[in-house]
Amino acid sequence: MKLSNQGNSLVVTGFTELSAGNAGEIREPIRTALTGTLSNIDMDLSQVQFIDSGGLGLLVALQKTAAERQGRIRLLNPTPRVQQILELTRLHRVFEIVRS
Amino acid sequence: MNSPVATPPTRCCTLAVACDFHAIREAAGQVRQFLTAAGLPASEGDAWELILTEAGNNAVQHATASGRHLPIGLDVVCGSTVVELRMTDHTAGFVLPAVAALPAADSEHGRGLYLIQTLADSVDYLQGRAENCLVVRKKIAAPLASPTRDLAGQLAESEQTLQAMTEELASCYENLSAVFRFSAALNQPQAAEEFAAKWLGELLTIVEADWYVLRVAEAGAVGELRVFASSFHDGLERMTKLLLRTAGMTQVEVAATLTKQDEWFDAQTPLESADLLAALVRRSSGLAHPIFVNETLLGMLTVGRLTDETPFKAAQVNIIQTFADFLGIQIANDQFRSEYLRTQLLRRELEIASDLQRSLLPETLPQLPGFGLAGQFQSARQVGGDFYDAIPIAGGRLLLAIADVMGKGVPAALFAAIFRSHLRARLYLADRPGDFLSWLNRSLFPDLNRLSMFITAQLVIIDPAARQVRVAGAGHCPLLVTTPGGTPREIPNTGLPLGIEAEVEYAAVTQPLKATERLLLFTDGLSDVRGAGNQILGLDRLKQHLQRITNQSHTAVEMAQALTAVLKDFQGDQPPADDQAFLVFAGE
Repeated sequence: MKLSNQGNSLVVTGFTELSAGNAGEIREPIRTALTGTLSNIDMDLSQVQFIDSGGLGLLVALQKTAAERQGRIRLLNPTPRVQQILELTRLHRVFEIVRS
Repeated sequence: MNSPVATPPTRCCTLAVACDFHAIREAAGQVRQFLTAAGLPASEGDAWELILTEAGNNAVQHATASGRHLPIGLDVVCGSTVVELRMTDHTAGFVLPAVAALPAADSEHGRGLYLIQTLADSVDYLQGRAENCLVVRKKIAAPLASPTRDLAGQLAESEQTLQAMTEELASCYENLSAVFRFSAALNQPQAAEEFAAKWLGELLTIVEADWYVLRVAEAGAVGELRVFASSFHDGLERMTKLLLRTAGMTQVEVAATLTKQDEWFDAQTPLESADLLAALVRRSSGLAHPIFVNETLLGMLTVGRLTDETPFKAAQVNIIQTFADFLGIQIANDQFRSEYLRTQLLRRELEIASDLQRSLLPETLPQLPGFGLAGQFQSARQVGGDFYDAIPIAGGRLLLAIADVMGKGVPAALFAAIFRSHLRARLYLADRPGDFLSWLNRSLFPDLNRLSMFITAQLVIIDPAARQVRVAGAGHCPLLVTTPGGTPREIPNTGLPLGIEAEVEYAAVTQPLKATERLLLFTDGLSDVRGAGNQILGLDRLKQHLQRITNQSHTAVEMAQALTAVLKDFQGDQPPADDQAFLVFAGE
């Protein structure tokens, strides 16, 4: 997983799975990195081949983390598989999904 | 069993997965590969990977402290039109909602079950005591081609034939498993034996064997293996039970339990002449396979041929072992379930009996002007049939009745209920309590006699206007009468208990009732209560306590409280072994 800054957004890339098994490993570095003027989180989902309810829970938790800093979370280029699960759980209406 | 050509296109994947998220993810990946290899499209593989991960995550997250050390069982069966997942978890279990709802959008939890239900066609959850089983089924959009055609061309080679048989066995696994579950659910103790015999008969055909003996560990008898099923019909009498501690190493079955591995017999190492099996098969080759689960010996399957020249091939041994382990586990589960059912039923019976018993007692006791009446009831560990009643009758009088049905559980409580309804149906007989008891005996005798039960009872009619008390008893404890500063007096019950003989005449005693007198009607749970060192309170000590209480108390309620305290004090922390019931009547 890679973290980089773009303006006031923390960009998270380089992970292939969001699950109950690795949610902790992803959440903590993001929370730690979210300092200073950083308030938004951009999650690059273009490599994510698998997401489960634990992964969805992580996205919801990160949304709250960003909101505490008056920011928001954006989901970048989710794979069809992830998009399908987001739609299945109606979370595609909750998150801002960005395609480029 | 059918020829391999007819093998149904069923494939199985069985895994035991460690109880952690990473192991679950890995297993989900494996199952996905297995399903893809079976010909499922990628989208279905995706769905199953997610279903399995969600189910597995729940099993990990909610595993009990001991369950965390046990593997999560995974069986995936891929048929031609449907895939079924069975996941065995060691959690406290949960109630599966018919339709799981999505949680609020800002909730971090609660989407797993929703995803499983949305992706699958059916979800069931079977709850057991030590483990539960989630069963998920999902239809295959485009039915798979039958793999039997591929096999048809390869039949010539015997090893491949055996392989096909192994697959067929795997396909039977589910049927067999279902049959056992059903038979356990129906609580038919014979079913497991019958099915074991049926399937072991099939095993003989598959591995070209001639005989088998399946033994199963006896519940509650450690170190004994009972013959559960066998191809031998005669000559089994001597070997019904294998006592592991006393039998020598001469028995191949005993040897296998000690070494915990397969023990072979053939031309080089024949069965010892002292071996009970040798009496049934002189020259034989085969093996004794001990069935262990978690270091516990469940049973022993011994399979052999009636020749010592051609031993089993490796694939055949493999089938025997698989079959044995599967059957052993099913039988152990079956016994476990039956035992569990029995304790459940017994507990339920006691609950019913206890409810029934309490429902018989009057909610409030009728009071006569100038007198007090108080009752106390304490049920035993094992519910019995103690009962009392107080009914106002004509002429401003009061009928007090107390009875003790000999027996425990629902039958005793039921008889108490019958006694109560008979009593209340014939209140006009209360003028003559002796005749009343005779009538009760006559009506209850046929049922009591048939069940070898009896009832002791006492009827007391209090007539305040006439200042009289009339008493009749049927083998019951005496009526105790006390006055403050006096000495206790007994009005004995001389008649036979109800249900001993069909026709009994009961005598009634009439005595004057002084305003200061107190009456105690009680069941033998009071006089026979056991205290420290298992000593019995006894009638004499009960009378002493009653006299002291009479001297110190003024009302029936105070007396009942004091008497309850005496009993509680005497028996300590232990709940009473027998029901305790009493009624106190006092002039106030």
